[in-house]
Amino acid sequence: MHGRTRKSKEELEDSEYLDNQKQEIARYRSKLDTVFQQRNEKRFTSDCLKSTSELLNLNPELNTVWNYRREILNETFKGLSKEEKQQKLNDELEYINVSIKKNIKSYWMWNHRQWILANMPSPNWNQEAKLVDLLFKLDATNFHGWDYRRYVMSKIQETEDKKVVINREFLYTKKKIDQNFANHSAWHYRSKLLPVILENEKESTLSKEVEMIIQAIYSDPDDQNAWLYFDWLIGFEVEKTTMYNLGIDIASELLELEPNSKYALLSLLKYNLALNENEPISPETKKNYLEYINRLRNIDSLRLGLYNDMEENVMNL
Amino acid sequence: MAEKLLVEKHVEFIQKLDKSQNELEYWMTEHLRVSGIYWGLVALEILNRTDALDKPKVIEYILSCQNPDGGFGGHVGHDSHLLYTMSAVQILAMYDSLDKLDKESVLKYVESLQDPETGYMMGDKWGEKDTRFAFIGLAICSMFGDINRLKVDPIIEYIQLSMNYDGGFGSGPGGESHAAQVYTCVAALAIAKRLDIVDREKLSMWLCERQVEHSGGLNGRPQKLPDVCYSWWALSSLDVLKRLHWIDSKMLAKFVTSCQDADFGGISDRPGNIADVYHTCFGICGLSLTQYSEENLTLSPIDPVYCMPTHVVERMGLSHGPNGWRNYVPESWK
Ligand SMILES: [Zn+2]
Repeated sequence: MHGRTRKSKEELEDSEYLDNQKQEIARYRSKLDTVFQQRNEKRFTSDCLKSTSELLNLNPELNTVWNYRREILNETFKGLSKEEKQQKLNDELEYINVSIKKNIKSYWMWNHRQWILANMPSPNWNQEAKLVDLLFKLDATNFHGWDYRRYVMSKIQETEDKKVVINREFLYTKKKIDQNFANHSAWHYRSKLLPVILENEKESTLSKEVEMIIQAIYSDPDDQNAWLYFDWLIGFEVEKTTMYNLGIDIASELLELEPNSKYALLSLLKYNLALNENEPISPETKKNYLEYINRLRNIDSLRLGLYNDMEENVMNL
Repeated sequence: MAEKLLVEKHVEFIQKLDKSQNELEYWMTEHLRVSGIYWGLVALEILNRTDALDKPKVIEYILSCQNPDGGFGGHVGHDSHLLYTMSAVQILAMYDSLDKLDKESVLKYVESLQDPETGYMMGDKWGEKDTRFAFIGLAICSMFGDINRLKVDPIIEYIQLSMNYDGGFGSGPGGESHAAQVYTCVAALAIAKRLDIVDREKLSMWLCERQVEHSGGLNGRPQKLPDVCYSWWALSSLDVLKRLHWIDSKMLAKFVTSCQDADFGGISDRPGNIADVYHTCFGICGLSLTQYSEENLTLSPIDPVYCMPTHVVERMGLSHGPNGWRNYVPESWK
């Protein structure tokens, strides 16, 4: 449903194309019929497994066929030794390894992978982590991959020291961010790891994190996520005024370089408001705020409704 | 590039879906036919052309997709899953035909998918957990007037654990924010009357930033390309948060209409791509939320929580009224 280029009327009416469609339909339907018939007959042989492989290669979205595949495997496990079961599941993983690269966005395939590992007598979670890392070379912000990585780590934590794993993952996200400051998936993962790390070594880690996000903001002032992350870090600080002032300084400096920096303007307004929350507002300050909002309107015409609401809030101060 | 909504073309496109056996796509999407009909019917409802589908035939087909476990598969003979059970119930609700269903059998199926240990919702008996299923579980039970068939608290806890630093929600605890998952969480919280949990300002800011400069379309995550379906996922959430006016409707309409297939009807994810019923539905739904209109064309309003026409949700007493989601507004929003 996503990312496929439209064909013209001529292309669609082309006789060669139509013939081709006919053949492909026939091929697909015969494989589909075979698999569903085998399932209705409650057959669970290795031939049946092979038919599902062929069918799923054509269409990995057939959730019922993935279910059937698991039923077949569950059936073949009966009476097998641990080693034999492991071998069967290794083969299954091999099959998925090939298909997942072509269908990195298929929910069913990731589910199936999880099922394989969950049923393995001796799953190799470190190998799984390596695979995910390889997939990130194809798509560094694939959320299935990142979700799966977190799942893998939760499993590794069952046998390894939790602190060690979390610290290692924290370094891993740093590596990904060094490759690309705008990898928001890596920043997101960091936001899940940081609170755990802060439980033990707050001061130094937190200030390093602030430094790192400031670098990200400077490298792309138009990255909303970097600003959001900075804002989120404020929550961990006891002395919030220092952070508000820091935010104001960064925003002011960026605005000198780039007067139309939207998030710099938004942050300037936000942290000034936060800093002076309990103070009476002078007409001069109010005028400044309204001027920021007007500049935002000119830069960002898509969100006039937002700026109107902001203006109303400032007027009511 | 068309500037107007090609209503007749889209109606034809949806009607033809059932007669396209000479196209491979027809067979490749067979496993989600129930959802396909749901998307088509919603689009037709919004275009005020409900009668374009053969109601008795559709109902008969939908009923034939129910399995002995009480759930629905995406097509006859396919395994039950919450995704298709939701579509089936929505179709019957739109046709005012829920009474044709053994209500108890469906509720039992949904109930069986609440993990007895954690209380989190699963998509099917194989156990996948996701915030989508939290929403669907609550939505189906509320449509049958029996939300307490599920233990609501653990479901809310699951959604709360899926909330992120940017104010958005992911597919589960630890998952990255994604506009479609945001919709499922916001809608679930609306049904459970627990919208007090969301960080309204932060989330609304994140959502309105999904509208992309120049094209006017919305993306699902930062730095991704705009895609018509987010006209629904992001806008419906903004509507529930009462911040729909934070995006530019005219620019959005420009994007959606530019994704129409002027020859064969239907709307695609992006300009120039193959149209499908999913994007046709959510493009039109997004336009309905923004109250898009043309001379001689008004769209029927859509409910941002249940993704069905407002008149249907009102008739079921799920919008206003004591059981309706609109009946509750968190204190801090007032
Ligand atoms: Zn889409």
